[in-house]
Amino acid sequence: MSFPDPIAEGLRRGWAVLDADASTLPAEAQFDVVIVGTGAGGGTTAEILAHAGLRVLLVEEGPLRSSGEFRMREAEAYPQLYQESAARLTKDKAIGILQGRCVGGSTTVNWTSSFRTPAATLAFWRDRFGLDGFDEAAMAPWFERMERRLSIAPWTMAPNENNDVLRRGAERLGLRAAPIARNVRGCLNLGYCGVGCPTNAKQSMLVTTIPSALDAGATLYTRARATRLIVEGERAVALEIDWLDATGTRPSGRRTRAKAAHFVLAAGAIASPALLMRSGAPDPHRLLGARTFLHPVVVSAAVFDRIVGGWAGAPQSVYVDHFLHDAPIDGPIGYKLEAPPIHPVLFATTMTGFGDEHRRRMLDFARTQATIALLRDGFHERSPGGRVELRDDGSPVLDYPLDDFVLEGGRRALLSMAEIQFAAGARTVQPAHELALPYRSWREAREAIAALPMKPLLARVVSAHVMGGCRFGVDAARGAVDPDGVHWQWRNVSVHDGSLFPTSIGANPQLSIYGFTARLASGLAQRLTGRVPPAPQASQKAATQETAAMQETAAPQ
Amino acid sequence: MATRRDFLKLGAGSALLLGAFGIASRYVGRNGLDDRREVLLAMIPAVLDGALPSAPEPRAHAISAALAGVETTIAGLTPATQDELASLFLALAAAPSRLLLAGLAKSWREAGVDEVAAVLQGWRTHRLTLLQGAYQALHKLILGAAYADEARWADIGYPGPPRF
Repeated sequence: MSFPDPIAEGLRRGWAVLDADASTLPAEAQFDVVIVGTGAGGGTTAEILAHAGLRVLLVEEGPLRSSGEFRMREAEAYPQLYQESAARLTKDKAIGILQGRCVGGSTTVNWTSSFRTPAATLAFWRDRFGLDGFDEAAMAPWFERMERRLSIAPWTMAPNENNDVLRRGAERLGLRAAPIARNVRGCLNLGYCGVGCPTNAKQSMLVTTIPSALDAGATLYTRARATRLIVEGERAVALEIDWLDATGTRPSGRRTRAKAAHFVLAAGAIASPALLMRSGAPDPHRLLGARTFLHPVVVSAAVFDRIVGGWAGAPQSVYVDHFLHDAPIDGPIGYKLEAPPIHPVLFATTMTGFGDEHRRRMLDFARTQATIALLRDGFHERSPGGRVELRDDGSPVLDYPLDDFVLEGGRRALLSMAEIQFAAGARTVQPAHELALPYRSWREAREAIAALPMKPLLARVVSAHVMGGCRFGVDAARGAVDPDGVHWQWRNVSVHDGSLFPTSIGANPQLSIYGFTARLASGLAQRLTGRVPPAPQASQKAATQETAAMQETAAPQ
Repeated sequence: MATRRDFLKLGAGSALLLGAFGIASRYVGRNGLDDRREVLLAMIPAVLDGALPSAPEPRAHAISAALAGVETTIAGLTPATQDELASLFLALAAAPSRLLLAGLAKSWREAGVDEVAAVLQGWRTHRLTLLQGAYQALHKLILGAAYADEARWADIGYPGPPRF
């Protein structure tokens, strides 16, 4: 069976895509709007602006890769599709960060979980940050629109065993487990979302908004690093772009200046504030790069008597929100429970120990279930998040000190997860922690976890969600950008990505980014063109392909 | 009992030490690649102990495959991270800092698997976060490279990606 590759087809149709290896690259180019980054925010924005008739340039530091090249191998996907080969760390090395670095950004490699911004989070923003106009009712039409655009719907197939353990264990303890909505069309339930969907079922930016923007005449630069904005007075006039060499990590020496009337930063919550810093953006209230949140994640691994096979099937299909709601939002840190996909490299690098100890964990690979807890950071004064800084070479690094407030939440989460895993019938449960062992009963686990030193580098902490750092605020003292996403001092620069959020979301953030940036981009298009822009629709052609794929896979997996 | 301030001082001292070795190496002509290989060739058998074949030839082959995997991974890291790792390998390879950081009087080449394992075990929970970080970097590099290798999948019961 072979799948149509919409990127290969588009390139044949003559899309304006320029890669760093092109023989000639322009010294200067002119557009209406330059967008930095092609992930959830950049893709959404590009489609809306391009269909509003604006000449759009998308600038992407990573490569353009597509389904024909997605071979479901971690060894290929991590270096090609992830920031820092999926080995990005916070400054003190205590938190690993998974972020996409390719056309489509993190949407190309995420696990498809789609949640609207929780009402409690929106209410917190209104009450604590004065952000009116973003309540549940005001945002609902934007989430609905993007849900339609990206085929977001609750997953109706049976969860894989890795997720079903979470469901069963939670329900046995009287906790509500619910199905996750996913952005897929004609999904074959393979389980390889994290290494690039080989069938284009995942409705990432790579196969939806970006092809749509390119069909509408947008230009895409790939393996092109946005170095800095060139500013005259308080107006950005051009983006300086360094084309990368064959390693994909160093500038080749070739450079383009992209001029535009407006610049949209959508490079993610580490790179967007960093670009403003490198450009010398005014920051009178020291907000830039501050309050950067991660949903710090702790992990619990359980071994069962039978095969779990966590590599196959929709990676995330069940969630438990009980521990987000059992205390006030601004009380002890709450957490969301989900299951992660289990693949050899991700698993081997997450499990602690080495030599024989690690070897034993690997021999249980197929029988291991993993549960993760995403800690909802940013809602308490003791959870101020981290700060993005620049290294000497201008590259960004996130300083995110893990203190007891967050890590004690991690301990509670390890306890909750172990109890659920034992309730589901686990033989052993082992938290990802340097001093943890496989525990044989809930009672043993409870005592041991209560005594584990929860310290940075001892407790394994990871993140796949970076938020904040250029937050929107009702005045310049409370936000780097205004509620329309426009920079408070540089009025022709906007931020359209997860860095807008003043706290973490408390749920996987992709749909929050889609909804907020669709709204901001529509406002921007209207200001730039004087007209209300059309709402882009999913193409009929894609719908036909979906039907065909569904028919082909009517047989059970 | 050491105070937090002492930890910070030690941490800063070690970082300075690494930096100094990075600079010194340019003058004494140490070869970063050789240093890296020497350290990794000692670390890999310890980290993968139990997961390597015991017959000499397949064992040597598996070790060089893991080494090649680690080197590929390092080549994909950002320049800043590559520099940091280079300083680490240099400091670990040079005798005075090896003694200080690893407590190892003999060279990595002469150290047995058990001795290297003892060094790694000490770093896992070391009071210097620099060494905890070094342990975790090596853990991730070596185990990531090892299990990226299809040759290792059958053994852990992973069927590999579906074919169509």
